[in-house]
Amino acid sequence: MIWYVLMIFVWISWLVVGWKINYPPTIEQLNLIMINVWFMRIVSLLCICLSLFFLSKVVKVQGKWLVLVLSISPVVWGLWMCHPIICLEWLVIAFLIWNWQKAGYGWRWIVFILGIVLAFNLWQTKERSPFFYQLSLRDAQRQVIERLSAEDGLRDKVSMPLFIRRISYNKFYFLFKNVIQEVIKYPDLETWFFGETHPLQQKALPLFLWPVVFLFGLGLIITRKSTIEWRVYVVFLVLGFFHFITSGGEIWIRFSMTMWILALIISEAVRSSYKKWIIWPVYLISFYGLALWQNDILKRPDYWLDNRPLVFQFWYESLKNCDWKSATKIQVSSVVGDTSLYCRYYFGKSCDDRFMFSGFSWNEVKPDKGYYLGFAGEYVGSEIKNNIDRNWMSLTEGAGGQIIDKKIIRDNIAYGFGNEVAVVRKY
Amino acid sequence: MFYRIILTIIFVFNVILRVGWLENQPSSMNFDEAALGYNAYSLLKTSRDEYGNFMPLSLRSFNDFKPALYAYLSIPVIKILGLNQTSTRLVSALAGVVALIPLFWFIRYFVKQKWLAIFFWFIISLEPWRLHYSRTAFESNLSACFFAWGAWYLFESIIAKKIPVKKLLMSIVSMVLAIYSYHGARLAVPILIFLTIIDPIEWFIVKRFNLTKKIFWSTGLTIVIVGILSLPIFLENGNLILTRLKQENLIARYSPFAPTELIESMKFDVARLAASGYYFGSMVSGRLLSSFSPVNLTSRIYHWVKGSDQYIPQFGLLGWLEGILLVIGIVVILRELDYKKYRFLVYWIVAGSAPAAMTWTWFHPLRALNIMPALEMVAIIGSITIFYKSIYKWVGVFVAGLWVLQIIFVINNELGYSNVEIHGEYQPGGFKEGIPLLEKLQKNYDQILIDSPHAQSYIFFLFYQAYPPEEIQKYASIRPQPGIGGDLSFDFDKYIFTKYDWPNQKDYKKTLWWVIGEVKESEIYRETGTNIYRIGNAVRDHEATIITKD
Repeated sequence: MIWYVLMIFVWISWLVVGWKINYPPTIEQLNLIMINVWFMRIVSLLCICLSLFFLSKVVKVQGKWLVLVLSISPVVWGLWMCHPIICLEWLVIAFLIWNWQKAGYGWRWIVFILGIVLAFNLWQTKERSPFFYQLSLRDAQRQVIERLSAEDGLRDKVSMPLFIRRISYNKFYFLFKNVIQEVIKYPDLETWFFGETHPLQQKALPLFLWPVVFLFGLGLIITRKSTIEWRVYVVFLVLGFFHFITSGGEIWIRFSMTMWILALIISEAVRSSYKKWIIWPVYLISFYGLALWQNDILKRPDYWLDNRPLVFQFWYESLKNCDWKSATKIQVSSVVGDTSLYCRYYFGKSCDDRFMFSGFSWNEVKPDKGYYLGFAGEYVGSEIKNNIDRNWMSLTEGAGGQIIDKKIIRDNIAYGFGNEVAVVRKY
Repeated sequence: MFYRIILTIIFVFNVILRVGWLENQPSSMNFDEAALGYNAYSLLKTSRDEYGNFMPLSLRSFNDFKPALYAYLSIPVIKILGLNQTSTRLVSALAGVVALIPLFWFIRYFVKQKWLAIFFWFIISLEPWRLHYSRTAFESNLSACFFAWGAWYLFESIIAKKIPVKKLLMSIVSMVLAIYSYHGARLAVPILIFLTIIDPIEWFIVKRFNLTKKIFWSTGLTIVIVGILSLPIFLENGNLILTRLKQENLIARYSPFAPTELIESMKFDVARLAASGYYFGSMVSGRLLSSFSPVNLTSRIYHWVKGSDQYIPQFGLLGWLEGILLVIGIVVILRELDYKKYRFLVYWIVAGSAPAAMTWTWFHPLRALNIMPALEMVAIIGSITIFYKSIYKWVGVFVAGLWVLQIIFVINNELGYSNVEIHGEYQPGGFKEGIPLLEKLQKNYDQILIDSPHAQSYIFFLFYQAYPPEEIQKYASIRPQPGIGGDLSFDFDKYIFTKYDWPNQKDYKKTLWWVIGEVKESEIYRETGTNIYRIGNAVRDHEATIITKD
C-alpha cells in the first residue's frame, strides 16, 4: 500500500515539475522527430516505465523497491524530459536482460547486449567518449616525448638513468596509463550521490539525492544475503561501466546506466530495512530532499539543465512576438550551435531562406536591415575575458539597433560573448 | 634468512628514496616547510619560537598554531646538518620510513602467505603519497606515522583474547604523539578509540551490545589518559588554539548552506532552517565520504590541490591500480563485517575522515593521511580477492607486473618529474637560488625592498639565510595578530615589503630591490649606479630579479 502511495506521489510530483518548467526540446529530441515535445516526452516516459517493469521482473523480490529508488532519481526525470534515445536504450536493454535471465544467463547474450549499448551510444551523441581519445599510441608517444623533454629541461633535478626512465616512459605504458586513468574515474561517489553539493559544481543532474548514500552503504553490507542471482549484479555493473566508457557528453548521461546497479544495491537495503524505525529518518530526509530538489529546479532550471535550449527558446519565442513576417533577413547566432532545427520547430514552414544561421559581429561587418538574435558580444564586439561592455545596450542602439528583448543567462555558454542574449532589430 | 635479507633490501631501498636528494627534490621549500625549519632553528638557538614564546606546544607561525612536535624533533638534525632543506625535511622522511613498520605488521596479519606479504609491502611502501609526503616537511606525515603505530597497537589489543597492557600503553603513547604532531589527530584519535570500544557495527549486525567490563575499563581509561596527556595543548593558548579551526571550518564559509535562490523563496524560518540543515548534512557527509572516494584518491585533482605542495602530478594519493582494488576491497570488507579485523579498518577510516568533514575544502589530501594505511589495507584485501579467486593465476601475475611498472613510474614521477609541475604559488622558486646572493650584497645597502606575490614570503628570507632568531623575536609585538588573514609579511631590519614602483623609487639611494618576475631593464640602467641580477629557479631561467642602486 505504502509503495503505491509513494509511487503515485513521486510520479505526479515529477510530472508537475516537468510541466511547470516546460523545458524546450533538446537537439536530441528535435533530431528524432519534429513534433510536439510533450508527445515525445510521453513516449519517453512510457519507455522508462516499461524498462522499470522489465527490471523489476529481473530482480523479482526487490523489484518494486528498485522501481521506487529509480523513480525518485532526478536523472530518470531528466532522461524522459530530454533524452528519448536513452529512454529507448533503457527499454531495449531492460527487455534484453529480462530475456537473458529467462534464457538461463548465457554469456553470449551479454556480448550482444553490450553491442546494443555501444550502438545506442554512437547514435545518441556525436561526441566521442573520452575513453576512445585515450586509445591513441601516437598521443601516448607525444606525451612520452613531452615528459622526457620537461624533465631534461629542469635546471635543478635528480638525474635518473635513461634506461630506468624508459621502463615506464614508453608509448605502451603511457597508453595503459591513459586508459586506466580514464577507467578509475568510474567509481565517483561525488557524482553518484552528491550532485546537489558537488565540489566542482559540475553541471549535472544528481543521480541520487545524498541521504540515499547511507542506504547504498547498507545495501553493500546486505548484498551478502541477497536472494538475487550474482550474475545479475555482475551484468548490471558491466553494463553501467561499459555505458560510462563508451558514451560521451554530459557526465550524468554517461552514468545513467550505472544507476541500475546502484539502485539494485539500494533496493536491497530498502527491502530489508523499511520496517525498521531506525532507518526511517533516512527515508524521511530522502523524500524531503526530493521535495527540496524539485523546488530548486523550479527556481533554477538553467542551473541544472543545459542552457542552450533555453537560449534558443528565448530567441525564437521573442521573435514570434515581433513583426518578423515583414523582415527580409533574420540572422540567428550559431556561437553555441546550429539552431536551424529549433527554427523549424518554432516556425514550421515559415522558417524559410530569410533565416540565416551563423555568428555575426556588428563591429566588423556592417549589419543589414533585419532581426539579429545573438549574444551581447556579437553586437558590440567579443572580449577575450568575457568582460563585455556594460553599456552594450546603448552601444547597440547607437549602432542603429532596437533591442526587442534581452535575457541574462546563468553560465558562460559562449565565453567571450557575454552572459546576455538579445533579439535586436536593425533599421 | 633469505626472507630477512629481502625485507632489509626493501627497507634500505625505501630509506634511500626518502632521504636521498632532499636538497633539490622538491627543488625549493613551501612556506609551511620554511616556517617549521626556521622555528626549529629558533628553538635550537633560543629555546623560543619566532615570536619569542618559550618552548611552545603550538607554533604561532602564520597565526595557524602549528603543532610543535615536528619542530622539536628537527632540532638535533638542524644542530648536526645546519638549517637547510635537507635538515628540515629529514624528520618527515624518517617518519615515512618508520611508518613502514606498522604497515608491514598489518599486511602480515591480513596476508597469510609471507612472500605475498613482502610483495604487497614493497608495492605499498612506494605508494605515490608515501613517497611524496615523506619528501616534504609535513607535520601531517609525522602524525600519520604515529597514528599508524597507535592504530597497530590498538588493533593488537582488541584482537587479543587478553588485553595486553603494554601494547595498550604503546598505543596511548603513539596516539598522543600523533595529537602533538597535527591538528587532525586531535579529533581522529578519540573517535577511533571510542568506535573501537563501542563497536557499533557489531551491535548493528549481531544485534548484541558486546561491551564487556574489561574492554570498557581498559579503553575508557585509554581515552581518559589520551585526553589528559593532550590537555596541555589546549591549555597553553586557550581559544587561540581554535584559530585554525575558525579559519578552516565549513560553517563560516558556507552558511546558510542551501542555494540562496532557494532559501530566499521560502516564507517561513522553519523551512529555511530545514533546507539549511539538509544541505549542511550533504556537505558534512560528502566531505566524510570524499576521503575514501576512489576517484579522489587516484585521479581527480581539485583546484585547491593543484599547484600546492600536496599535489602529486598524475596521481591522487594512491596508484591507479589501487583505485580499482580499493573498490573491490570496500565491497569485500562491507560483506565481511562479522570479523572484528575488518570492522577495525572501517572505524579507522571513519575516525581518520572525521576531521575533514568539518572543514571547508571537500577533499584535502593532508587531512586524509591518517586513514591512508587503512585504505591501503582495503586495497590489499581487494587484490587478495583477485589473486585467490581469479580462475586464471596469470591474472594475478599480470596485475603484479603492472604494479611493478607503476612503482617505477612513481619513482620517476617523484624524483624526476614533479619539479616541473609543483612550482606554483606554494612552492615558490627563486628564493633558494637568490637569497645567498642577496646575503652577499645586502651589507652595502641601507634598505631592501621586496615585492613578492607569494604569501608570507618573509619566511624565506629568514630561512635561507638562517637569520638570527633573537633579532626577529624583537618584532613580535608589531606582527599581525591572530585572526587576521591575508599577507602576514612584516618589515624587519632592512627588509621592507612593498610594491615595486621604479618610476617613483628610482631616486632611492643605497637600496636593493627584490622583484618576482620581469622588470624593464632599460629603464633601470638609465639610472647611474644600478645593477641587475637575474635569478632563476628549477624550471625557469628568470624567476626573480635583484636590482641594486648605490
